[in-house]
Amino acid sequence: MKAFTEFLHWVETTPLAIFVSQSTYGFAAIDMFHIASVSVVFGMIAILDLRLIGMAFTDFSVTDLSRQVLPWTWVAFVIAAITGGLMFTGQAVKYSVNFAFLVKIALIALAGLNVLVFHFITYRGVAKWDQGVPVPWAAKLAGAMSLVIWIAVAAYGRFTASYMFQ
Amino acid sequence: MMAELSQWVGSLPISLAMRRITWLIPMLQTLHILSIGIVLSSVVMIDLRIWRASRSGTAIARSERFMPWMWTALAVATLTGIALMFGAPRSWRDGAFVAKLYLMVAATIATVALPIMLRRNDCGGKDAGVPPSSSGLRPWCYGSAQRLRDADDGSPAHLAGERFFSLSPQAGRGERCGQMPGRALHSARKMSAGPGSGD
Repeated sequence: MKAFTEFLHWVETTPLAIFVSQSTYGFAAIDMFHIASVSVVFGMIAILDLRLIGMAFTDFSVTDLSRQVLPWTWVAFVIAAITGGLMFTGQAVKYSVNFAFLVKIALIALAGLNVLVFHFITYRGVAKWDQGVPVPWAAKLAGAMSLVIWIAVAAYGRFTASYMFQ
Repeated sequence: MMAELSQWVGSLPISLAMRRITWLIPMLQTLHILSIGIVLSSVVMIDLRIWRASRSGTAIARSERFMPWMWTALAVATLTGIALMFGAPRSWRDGAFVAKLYLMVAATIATVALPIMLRRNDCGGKDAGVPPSSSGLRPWCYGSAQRLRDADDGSPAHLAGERFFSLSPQAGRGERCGQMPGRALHSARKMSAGPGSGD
């Protein structure tokens, strides 16, 4: 744990971290891209989640909707991860003890696990429930989990910021 | 001016009360950000159809499908935004906030205009508003061209060209439907006349 804290201290001294923590508009600009990309991740994946749960967009097939929604989700997620990582470097030690931040990271890991299970197990049989028939409970559960987790990720992101700067 | 206004709002009892509840501002921000996410994703879903990156349904049906989500989310974003103006007035004392308001007005006008434009360019409910990417013809509406493409099962090009013209009068409700630029009209005629007819 001590070695990890030392590592985080070192991270804060890297040129990139110094730029993030010292520049007047650097952090604000990165934060802007982070929030915008997180909102796109949520907005796009929510469409697929609602389809899986069966609450909306049932006139689209699951595969058609996935094709339209997932590329945007992934691109936005990568931007969110990069900008999030950048912001982390600026105050790595302080983030590492921020409770809301740790919850957020745990939730993202859970979302990742949910995606893996859905993609490699549940989604394999998509041809059977692509359109016009009820979605199996495993897919419904994946959709509901994704929706809840991403709302919580956004909320804990805001709590992270409010703990950091109060 | 905005600086004084934000300072005054910040001194109001409601603003003070809101800031005393520690979780309220982050919660409102979360709702604000998530609803903006729904607005953005609705726009993407409508635009994907308009850009023809997706081909399921018509552009009008797609816009009717996602517009209610978009307007509801926009209303939530606006309401939470107004609440945040009271709860966190420091955030709008600089120029960026004023710029955001102007951009919101522009975006709202574009959102109101979009379904109107789609309907105006509606070709018998088939398709609208998008120029075909490959042919180089650029009519506003090409419901007939879409039908042509749908019907194109490897038949000779001149036949396809004829089909374009035979379909276009019935295709459109709007004036623009089936309208083609002069040069394209010329080459299409040439195609339908077949090789060697000369002109």
